[in-house]
Amino acid sequence: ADIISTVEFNHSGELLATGDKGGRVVIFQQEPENKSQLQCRGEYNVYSTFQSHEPEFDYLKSLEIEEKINKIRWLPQKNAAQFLLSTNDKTIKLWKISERDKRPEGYNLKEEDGRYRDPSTVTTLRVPVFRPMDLMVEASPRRVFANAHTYHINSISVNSDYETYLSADDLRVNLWHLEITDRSFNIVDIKPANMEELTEVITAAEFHPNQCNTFVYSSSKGTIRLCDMRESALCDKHSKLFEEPEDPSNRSFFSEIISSISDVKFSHNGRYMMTRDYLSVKIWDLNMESRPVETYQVHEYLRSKLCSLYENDCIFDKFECCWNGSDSVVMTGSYNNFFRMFDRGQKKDVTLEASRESSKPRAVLKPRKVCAGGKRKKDEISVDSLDFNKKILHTAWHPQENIIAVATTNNLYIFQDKLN
Amino acid sequence: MLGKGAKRKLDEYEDGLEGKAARTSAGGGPSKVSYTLQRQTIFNISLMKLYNHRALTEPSLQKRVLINNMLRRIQEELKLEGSLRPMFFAASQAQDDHLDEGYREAQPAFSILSATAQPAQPSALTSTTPLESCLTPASLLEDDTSFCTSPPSLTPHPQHDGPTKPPPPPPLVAIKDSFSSALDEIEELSAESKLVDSSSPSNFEITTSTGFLTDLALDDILFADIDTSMYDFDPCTSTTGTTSKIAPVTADDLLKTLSPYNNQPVTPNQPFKMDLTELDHIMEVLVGS
Repeated sequence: ADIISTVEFNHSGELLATGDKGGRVVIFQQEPENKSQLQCRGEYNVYSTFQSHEPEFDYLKSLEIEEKINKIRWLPQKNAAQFLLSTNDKTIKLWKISERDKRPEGYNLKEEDGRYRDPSTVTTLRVPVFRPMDLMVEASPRRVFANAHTYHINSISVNSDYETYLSADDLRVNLWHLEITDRSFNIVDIKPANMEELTEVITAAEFHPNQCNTFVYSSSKGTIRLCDMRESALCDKHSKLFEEPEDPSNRSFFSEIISSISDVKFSHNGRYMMTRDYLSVKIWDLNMESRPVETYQVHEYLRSKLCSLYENDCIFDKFECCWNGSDSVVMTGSYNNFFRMFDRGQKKDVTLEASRESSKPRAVLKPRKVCAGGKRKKDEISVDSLDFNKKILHTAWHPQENIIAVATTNNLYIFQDKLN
Repeated sequence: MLGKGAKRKLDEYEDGLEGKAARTSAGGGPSKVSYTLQRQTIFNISLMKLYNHRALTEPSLQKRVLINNMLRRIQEELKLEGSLRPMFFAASQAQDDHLDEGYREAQPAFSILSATAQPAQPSALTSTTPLESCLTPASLLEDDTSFCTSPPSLTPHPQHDGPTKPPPPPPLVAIKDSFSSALDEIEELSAESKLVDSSSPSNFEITTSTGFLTDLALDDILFADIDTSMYDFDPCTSTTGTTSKIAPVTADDLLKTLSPYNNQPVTPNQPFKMDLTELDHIMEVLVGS
């Protein structure tokens, strides 16, 4: 139940939220920078923990509905409180996280413990005053958006209008207003009339970061469709279709499965989008649909192992990807607790490992290398020694600084770049 | 977890069955076997994944769709091959592109050869491709064997939406450790029965190894409602995975569920009786009596 299932920084980067398989949300807060220690940015400590979703039972189908948190998305901060959306397979909830550090003391008619005073003892008028108290962080559910998805929700995305958001399941995308919970608009529906003809599902969806009418959704066949909500109420007809023609030399039984896109993310500037399929990360220019402008191989050495990975189901693992604040570096996870970073400008990439043994606090991470075949050099790891149970599916990058959060199965690692 | 302790049979498997077609070694023969072998393995794995799952939660639609697409593709390829009656080992041309669309286009060439070489082929086919080797687990088909650290987490009979009945434990219910040996036994049985019946067209097809499922309309199984009354799927009592509570099923019951899907014309009585005893044996093996 402690398996981390999603990681997300808020818009300022001060807060980091994680969701787990047990339906819990844990929020970390960055400590204010220590002026005396110029080398270090603030550390992240636990700020709030709450149970977001509970397991449910679908009586019609005789199946459990998992409480696992699939995605968390923060709303931009408008007042003192923080708001986030968290979702499991079926229900999205809006949570308000607020601080309380003062409380009223000195009531006229009540004792401190709440009991009413005997009226005969009240002889003077007293107005309560606020006095400081120990900080208390409270999380309360403000909205519950339920019963809009027949299939499993895989994505939620807040619109740049900060009033609406979308939620996507395997076959449909719905548009919600944050204030309205009993209604949502269906804007994409790819369910065929005859389910036997179903060959493609929606795998991820996201709103454009600054155009509130634009969103994209990716599919299990490796395509991305960009839709404009101004065109029609139902966006079944895409405005743009992004698809790379298959490389015939790499054709195999598993071509379709490895082309299935597990994550799609717009760049912060809104000019590019990044997609993650099983073996690679692709950067697309929104103005060019025919092929990606950049492709990065995450773990090409797995291409010859696809049959085994199909057998043990690893081929269905859904890796996420993320941009850094300036859109110059992208990051994604791999197996053996490795994660990869690709510097787009400098055309460099690095493989790092998130594990207790290899990361002492304050120590610099050593780059890793996987030996695909032939002679294994010292410090290299051979493909056969990789642990496929140790997978990094969820990573997040601070929106402004070079601080990253990497989730292994049970642990969260927070790394920062070395300040000199 | 499949195939632990099973011996590798032929060196040509070491070559790796995936990746570039350029890896074909000595002529077309071995690589063609590799291709069909791999295809068969993937087919079997896919079937297992779809049918062998006791899920407490609803299984992933994406996974089911991808596996189903895989099965459909393989089935279409096999149908295409079946209709053109290719003789795999006869031709030596167009071997290089066997992993892509070029393979299908090479079929007509094969059929010409098959017309002349037909009488000799069936025996060549069955003798050089021991059917049980078609079930070599994926881990043996590649260089590494350290992979499958956990048994495949398997997806169940897909139920998409609307009122559904609990998914039935399929005829091929697997008990993990004995699975490969159980399948081997089944294959030997079906191989024997098919060899005896030389008039059956299915002798020429590699797919005899999945005997009774060959001509099934896959979609009928995957998406239609099947009478599941004799299978009791109780999510509250079934444990996570291993011990399967199967209601005892007689061979007759099994035939009843299979017969709607069996389009293959069956010469009456004689082979049918053989099938019954086979099925009895199969059930014994599966239930582990």
